[in-house]
Amino acid sequence: MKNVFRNLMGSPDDLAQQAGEPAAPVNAVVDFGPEVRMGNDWFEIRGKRFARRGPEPVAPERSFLPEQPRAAGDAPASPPARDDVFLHLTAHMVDVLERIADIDDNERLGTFVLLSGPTGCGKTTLAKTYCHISNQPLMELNFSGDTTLADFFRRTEVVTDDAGNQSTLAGLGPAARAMLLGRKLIVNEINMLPPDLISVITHAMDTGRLLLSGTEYGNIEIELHEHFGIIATANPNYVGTAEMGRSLQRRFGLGLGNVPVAFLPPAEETESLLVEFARHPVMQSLGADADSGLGGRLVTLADSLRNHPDVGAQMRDRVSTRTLVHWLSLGQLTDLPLAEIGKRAVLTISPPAVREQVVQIASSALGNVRLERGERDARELLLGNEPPDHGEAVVVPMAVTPETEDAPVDEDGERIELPSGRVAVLGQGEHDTPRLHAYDSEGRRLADLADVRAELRRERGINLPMPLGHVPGRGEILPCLTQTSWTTTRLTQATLLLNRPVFLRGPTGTGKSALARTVAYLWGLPTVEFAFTGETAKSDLTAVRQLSHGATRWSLQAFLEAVRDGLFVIVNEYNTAYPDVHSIINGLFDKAELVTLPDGTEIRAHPDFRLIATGFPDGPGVKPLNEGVENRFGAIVAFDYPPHEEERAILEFVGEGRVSVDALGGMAELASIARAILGGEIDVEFGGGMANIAPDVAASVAERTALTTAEMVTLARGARTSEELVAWYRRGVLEGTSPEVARVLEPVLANYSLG
Amino acid sequence: MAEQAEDAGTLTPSELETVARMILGHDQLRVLPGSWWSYIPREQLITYPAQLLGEWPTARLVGAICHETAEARFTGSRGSSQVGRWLRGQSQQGLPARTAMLLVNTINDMRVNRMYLDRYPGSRPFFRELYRDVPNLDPRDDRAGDLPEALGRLPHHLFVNALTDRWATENWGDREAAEDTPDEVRKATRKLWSAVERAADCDDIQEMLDVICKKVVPGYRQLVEMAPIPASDDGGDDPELIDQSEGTGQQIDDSNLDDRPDDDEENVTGIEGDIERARAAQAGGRGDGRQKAGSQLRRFGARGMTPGRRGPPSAAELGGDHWETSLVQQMRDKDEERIDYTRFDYRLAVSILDEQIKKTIDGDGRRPGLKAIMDRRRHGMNEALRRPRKQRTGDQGEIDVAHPERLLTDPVTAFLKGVRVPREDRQRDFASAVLLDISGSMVQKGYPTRKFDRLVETAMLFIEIHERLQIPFEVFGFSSTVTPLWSFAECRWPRGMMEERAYKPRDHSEAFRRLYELDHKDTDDAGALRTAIERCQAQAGLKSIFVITDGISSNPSELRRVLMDLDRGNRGKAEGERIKVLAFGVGVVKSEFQLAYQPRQFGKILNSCTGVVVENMTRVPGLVRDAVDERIRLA
Repeated sequence: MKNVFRNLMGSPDDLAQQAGEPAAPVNAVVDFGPEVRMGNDWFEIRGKRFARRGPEPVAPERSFLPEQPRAAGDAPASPPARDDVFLHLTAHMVDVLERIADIDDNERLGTFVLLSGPTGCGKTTLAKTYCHISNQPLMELNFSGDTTLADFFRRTEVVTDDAGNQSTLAGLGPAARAMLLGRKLIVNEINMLPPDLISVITHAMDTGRLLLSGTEYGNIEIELHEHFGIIATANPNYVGTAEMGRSLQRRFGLGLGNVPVAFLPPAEETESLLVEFARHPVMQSLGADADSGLGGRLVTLADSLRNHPDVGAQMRDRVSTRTLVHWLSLGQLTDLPLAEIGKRAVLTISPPAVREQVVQIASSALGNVRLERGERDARELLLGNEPPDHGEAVVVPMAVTPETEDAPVDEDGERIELPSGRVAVLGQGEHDTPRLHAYDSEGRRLADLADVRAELRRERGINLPMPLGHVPGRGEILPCLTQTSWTTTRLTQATLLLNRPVFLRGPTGTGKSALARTVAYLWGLPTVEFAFTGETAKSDLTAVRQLSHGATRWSLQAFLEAVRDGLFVIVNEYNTAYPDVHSIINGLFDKAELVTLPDGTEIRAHPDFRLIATGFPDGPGVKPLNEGVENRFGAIVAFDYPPHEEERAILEFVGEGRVSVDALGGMAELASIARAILGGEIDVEFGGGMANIAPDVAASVAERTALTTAEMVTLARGARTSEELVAWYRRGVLEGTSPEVARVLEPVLANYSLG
Repeated sequence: MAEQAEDAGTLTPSELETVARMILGHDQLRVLPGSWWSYIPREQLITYPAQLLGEWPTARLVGAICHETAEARFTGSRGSSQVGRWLRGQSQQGLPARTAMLLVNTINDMRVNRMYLDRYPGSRPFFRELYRDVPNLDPRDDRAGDLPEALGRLPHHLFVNALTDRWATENWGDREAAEDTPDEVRKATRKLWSAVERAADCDDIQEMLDVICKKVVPGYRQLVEMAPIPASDDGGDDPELIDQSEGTGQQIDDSNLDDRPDDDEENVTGIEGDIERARAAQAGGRGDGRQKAGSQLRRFGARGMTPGRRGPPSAAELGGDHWETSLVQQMRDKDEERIDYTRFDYRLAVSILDEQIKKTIDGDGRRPGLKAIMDRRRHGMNEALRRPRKQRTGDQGEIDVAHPERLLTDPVTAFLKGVRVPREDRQRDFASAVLLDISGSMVQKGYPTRKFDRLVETAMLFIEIHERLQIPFEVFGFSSTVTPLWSFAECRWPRGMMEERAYKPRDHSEAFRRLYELDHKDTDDAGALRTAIERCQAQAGLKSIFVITDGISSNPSELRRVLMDLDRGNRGKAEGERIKVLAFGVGVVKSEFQLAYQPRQFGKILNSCTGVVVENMTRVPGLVRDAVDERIRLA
């Protein structure tokens, strides 16, 4: 294995062994807790026996279905694997499961189930658990606000016959295929779907038929398969969701398929938390077993937060069972006290207005408690547990050298002799991407090709495209580590080891992206970096249709390719995209880790795929995260500007003695004061209200001097002398100011050695 | 920089206080005008002589701020207590506390200045400018009361001044000697200087006191004994002085300074005067809105206050269907029937109404607030947080089934033409006019002002909504004449970045005082509407006119005509360009209000106007949200 994740968990074969429970032997009866059992062709819920569905028949029965240009979704589908479902069902979970089974078993009712409830309480996994136990193949859909019918129901494709003639054809999306092939359609967050598209589903639910125009049989009507059913989930009133509407709700049937799902009662939640914690492959590989008392304390805390008279309304949908699993697992990996993890990475999901109170409640409840080490220790994979002292900056440790597999060399490629004596050979890679390898003047093959590429650009004007993914170099990462960034890096690493995405939340210029690259650097992971925008659409995150050789085909976008190929993905400005757009990839962060394309193809995340998103909730163009999206992050790490002693240390580290430490310290201290004023932490009116300060002057002075860490690092890195540094800084701060602001700034800058 | 600062003239109070804020940094101290420079630890206050701002150059002012900052940072409350204990000890050994304090202050100044200069070497030119003249301006003296010049300076006074002189000379060299120094003082200075330096080199204040005690006090005591101060003149063992030594713990805040400008307020001078003024500022200032509101309320003896509660009662607590339980009403004096609008404090009133304002803007947890509602419009959709769906075929490469040939002939066009266009119904901005009815039916000067109270509360809510959401707005009062109180041109806000918690309400007190002072006669609502309509036309965005009135019009037919004209004018315009009147009736006769602001034409209600009766302040947030929501949805 080439990377850190498999150092922890072993080879892919080991992974398969470790993941979840061992596969059930043929004819064995498998228990899912005390009330649910599963045999080969039956399953029992509280003693009531149901038949399991047999394997899907294969062609020729399906030959009468309309011809499809792509047959990816036609392959016999499987029910969810054991890894994707709950293996231990508590009483309340069984209630829900029993209700689904009763409806599905009733021939007079269609299987239309809507599980509504807070995020992270297990709705989707319960739906899949039912499909697993009842052996129902399924198709899973996630929607966004810009979902169209072509994405999941019906679209037009161009096909080319053997003679090169082109024609258009009606293509069926996964929803229509599920209806015709008798699969369960798991629709995550159905209220993300534009409300005016839902009628296409409700119509089929009502009539039991599907109308299709433009097939090779002409316009036809097909009956829905008996095994077809919809199990939808919804988080009503979450950010970015649409109003459900009575017309949709009623079709699931009050008292029937409309199933409210809540968090489990504390005792059951503790049970479930411990099971989910212990079955995680990482915890299994570490031999870690959570203390039930500790789990109980966390659950009690969660329960009190959800029902707290002051903060309950804000926390109810934010502290989920999933959150607790992340919390406990981070405690195991980092050895930090649970309360500190909560403050830094978990309770950061709480709204700013109540965050302090929430952290206080958690600190009182948890004290200084931390988890005991397991049989094995993962800490060698993280930065050490001895961060630098406060106000100290240390060099980023040397990176892990990735084990590279020597790619086959295309010696027949074009040879280019360069002035340096090096020889570049250009061959052909996948998708006709040029593939470069090179030799030094003595004929030895070169590992680092950056210089060769630069020479090709400089000397030959050739700028070579490369396949996605490169390991960040020293120049792209944090210049040094301080106490804060050290701890943040450890938390980030631990979350990634757990195979959970991380959200680094902090203002611009604090080094969020650089920290993400630092993690990739430390672990030697090939990385690809994206930036989301307000224009980012579902198609940017999944796949688009392209016209290729006269026919349309689905082409994975860079993001999904990185997911499939196991790259380390950094997404900057994650929350500039609309909240509903994120939800299209929610499936990647559920147990099954997959995304379904409009042609039915399921793209599963590679075991090495990891994601770090960065963003900040304030600023132009940003949007709040949907609670469900937010909840899927294993950690939302609060990342602020460093304390000014640390910022000063960073600048001194970068300045390398070329520039005055007084000026660097002055820049850092002034920025810290200005940020505090802008953030309202320092009252410019001194709390007295009788001060004479003009708010606009104070705001201008503060805005001018509130440089970001990144801006100051750039100045410190670029300046050759103290005079140059001060001149650049003063130019930036004073240029274009009004005379009254300049009159204030001049003495202030001088006081901080920037005069 | 010192040269630049010297050339830059002097600073205004606003500029000086801003400079001080940036230099004080995270230290939680207030800076307020006082009679002289002083740092008062127990009040967390630094005062400065505002009267000198026009005379002192910038560098000297900044030097004084740096010195006071140094005092606060390196002596602080803890250091002052240590000095207090030390003074008590000296007093018990026969050295009067005031006299001992003179010495310790002098040396401590050197200590804190040194420490400040070590940390902020850039401040050196400011200290240099400060010490060029101030010691001469501010000679030290430990005699009580105002003394005539003729009494002259005592040896130990000259000694401490000589120490400061020497410290300044050693640091900057080019200053002139302050005054002629007698031989014995010069000798003592020479003899004790190294000990003084040692003391000033101590970072820890207790260490400094120990060195002073052992090495400097004996020599100093000799000087004191050469010319003892008569018992009636010295400070003696004034326990208050010792306890409050922190209050006079600086060289340049001596309360006996003769040439200090006279204090012209309240006839309270010196540090106690500064403290008094600071306290007054604190009581009258804004600070924590709820706490201050509470203290203000206690002063006014407000009704409805539960003993021991910390803030004003919430609207919910006050409850009831009657407006009498409103919040601004809490400002009334217990013994009076009405609020004194001639002294109306807008910021205080805002702090009382804060809950209502926030509910209106941010929502109440169950329903969205104006922020979200207006964002919908800004994003051109009803679901602000959902990505707009494509607007035309081809944006994302869809095949136009009606014209598949386009795909065959020009795939580039078919697949690459998708430059997204903004939605046509997108609306960037809003603009509003707020019309306040101050006719005789709303208010009569000198009498209880119930209707006017309601108008004020509602108007404040509107003004704060616009201020906080930074929506351009105008305010007019109207009676027989229309009086502009706030104009679109004045709507300027600090650019970006200020966070919500840093928000400070703009002071609109004057507008409300004027509202009350203006003549209260007829109700020219029609004229007011015409003016507002005309002025709104030029504004960009969705334009609305909010009228707060009791609905009793002096000329209902003219009002009706204006509304019909507006309706007619609107018909030829795009939805987003139409102006709409939203009337809020306070203290109304419903039938009159409906007649005036819900007029019908041919049996149909005019689209240009809607009216809603406000029965209780607690309902206003919901009413405003609904009205604005509907306005946006229908536009």
